[in-house]
Amino acid sequence: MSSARDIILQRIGKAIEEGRAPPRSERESGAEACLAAKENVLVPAGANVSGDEAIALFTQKAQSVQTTIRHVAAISDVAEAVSQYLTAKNLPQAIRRGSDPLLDRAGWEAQPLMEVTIGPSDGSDRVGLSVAVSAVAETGTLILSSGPDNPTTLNFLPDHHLVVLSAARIVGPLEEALRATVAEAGPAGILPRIVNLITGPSRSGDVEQQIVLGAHGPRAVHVILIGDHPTAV
Amino acid sequence: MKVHSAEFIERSAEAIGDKQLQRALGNVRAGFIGKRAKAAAALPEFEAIRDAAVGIKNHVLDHLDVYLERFEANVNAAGGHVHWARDADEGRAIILDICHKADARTVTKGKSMLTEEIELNAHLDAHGIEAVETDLGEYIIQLRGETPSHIIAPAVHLNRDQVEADFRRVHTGFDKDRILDTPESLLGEAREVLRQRYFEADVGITGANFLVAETGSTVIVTNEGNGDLTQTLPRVHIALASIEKIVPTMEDLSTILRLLARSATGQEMSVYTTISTGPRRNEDQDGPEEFHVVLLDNGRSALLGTEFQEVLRCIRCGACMNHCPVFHAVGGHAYGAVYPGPIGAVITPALAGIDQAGHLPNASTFCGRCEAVCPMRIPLPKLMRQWREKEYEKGYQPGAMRRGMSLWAFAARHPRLYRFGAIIAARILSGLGGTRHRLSRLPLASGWTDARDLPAPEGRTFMQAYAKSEKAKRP
Ligand code: SF4
Repeated sequence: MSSARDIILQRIGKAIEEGRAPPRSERESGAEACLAAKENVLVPAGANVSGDEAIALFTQKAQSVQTTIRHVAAISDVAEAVSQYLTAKNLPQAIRRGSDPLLDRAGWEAQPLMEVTIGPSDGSDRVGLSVAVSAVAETGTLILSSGPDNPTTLNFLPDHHLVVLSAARIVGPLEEALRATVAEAGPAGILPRIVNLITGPSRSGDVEQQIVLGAHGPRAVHVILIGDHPTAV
Repeated sequence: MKVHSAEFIERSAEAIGDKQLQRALGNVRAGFIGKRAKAAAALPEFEAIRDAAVGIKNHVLDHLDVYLERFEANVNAAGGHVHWARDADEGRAIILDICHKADARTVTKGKSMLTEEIELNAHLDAHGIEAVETDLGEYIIQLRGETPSHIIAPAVHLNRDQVEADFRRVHTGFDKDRILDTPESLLGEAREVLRQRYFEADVGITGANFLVAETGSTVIVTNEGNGDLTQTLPRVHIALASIEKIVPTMEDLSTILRLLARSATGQEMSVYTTISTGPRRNEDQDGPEEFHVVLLDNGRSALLGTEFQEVLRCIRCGACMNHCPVFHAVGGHAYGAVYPGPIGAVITPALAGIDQAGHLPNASTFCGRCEAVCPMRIPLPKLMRQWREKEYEKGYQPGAMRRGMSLWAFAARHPRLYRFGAIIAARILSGLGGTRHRLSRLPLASGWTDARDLPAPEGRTFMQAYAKSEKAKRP
């Protein structure tokens, strides 16, 4: 069963030792040290932002990849923002969302005409609503983790993907967001099945290298940003 | 891996005469080069990040066995399965076995060059399992029965009217009078057709751009979202990855991601970077119940510790072919191998044997642009030269030269073809000569240029110049 495994590992071990690599014991300690250090390799100066600066940079970068952003003051304003988005896009007042408890407080009671269903998408929903765990200012990237609260199908099957993001969860560089995701995975350190890094709506350049939005994933990504307005955009 | 590199010269001549292809190849020059340059220039630390990434990968290659074992342990801890394949046969057998156990009739596929390398689709097909490509470019070439001509833009050799004709031929359920002449309408139709296929599939197969040792995660990087639907909707997800794809930590992943999209498409980040760890959890409401990672060696461990080790740093961004004048002139299919362009010229002899692909390293002008843009600073021209030396030692060169001579002889017997070939060659060589109008390297004729520069042709052949002067003389 493991014979191919052992042979490949032996081949590798032998080959690197015949090259200029250290012997096995040093390889073990070398790898261990690197894994334990989790060192930031080289964070670009421009990505090292926080607070208002991070919000401003996230906004600018997200918009540059065709993500749209709506600012609201509190979680209770989200339902209204969703309703206005649907109206603006000429969509029926209907969305599907995960069971994230944060969204229970989104103010649905003020939108009696909106049909809100909960659970993963089967492909028939026009609009999905998720909650992002964090976002990366450096590239305007949203980070979403799978789980019962935020099923992955909501991120890909509906035409419009609406994402609730708390401004306080925006960090500067990518490694900071990923390290936090690993830290939140708990003591066993096992990540959720899927961590999605989403930078704009889906697109393809496969026909004559012309970029067209709306490939297999959503045609539109709309962020509802809760919290402070950026001081400068 | 089937390789038809021996016919490189013949195929190139055909490619240069193919008007559709030449029109499509214009998109490579026009699209990729400027976008990459702009993206690299916009990040002040770009060069320093390249150095850092080289350091990460060199460290990984020197500690590869330890990292693979760690990766395996972490995949297991998350409830996934790791399979090891020494070669293409083993890789295909493992995947087929998983498909059989899942009672699979249809599998969807995310874009994966490695599945091309092991010719997976044909193998599944031979065993009654339909493999459906879901990346738009891969889908198009699958309809045409072709192979990818570029590692990140598989259908870059085609124009939209060709795609339209294919869709009209295959998508018979649609209105015959529909308008289908824009990239938007073509994409929309493919999206509609493929949506159903994702739901029908029993198994989803993806590649992996990275394997993260510290978490046992596989990572795919895409723009379309097809890879995500492929690995989320079916009951079983198989990720096929070659052993050198390891990065130790999330920080290392972050560093290399800053190079990948910028070098490939000029984006700062591709639309989807997806980190997958284990199968769905008990409380999850979607996602696959089984997660398998197939680790493929297929000749790579044999490069470790050798003068070719550096090629294992490759992150398959495609920048080397996007900037290669030979690729611009002949496209990817002329190489007759899974991986075209400079990276193909270096990796194909390693994977398929130097007797099969020994003179691909000659398909270069040694202009050095590939090395200049390679984010992982792989010395591609040097490695090509090393293969040429090996080829020479093994005595394969005369065969290649014989083939070159027989092509010349064929063309010489067909004056119109000869003249046409000469016109194209004069144009290419003129372009390569640059403003100095000197060629320090002549493709396929290094015996001439090793010791001296050849004056580059002015861009016209003697026959053209003659015809023009004759015309000018007429009243
Ligand atoms: S050799 Fe370098 S430029 Fe070419 S695909 Fe690999 S990483 Fe990219």
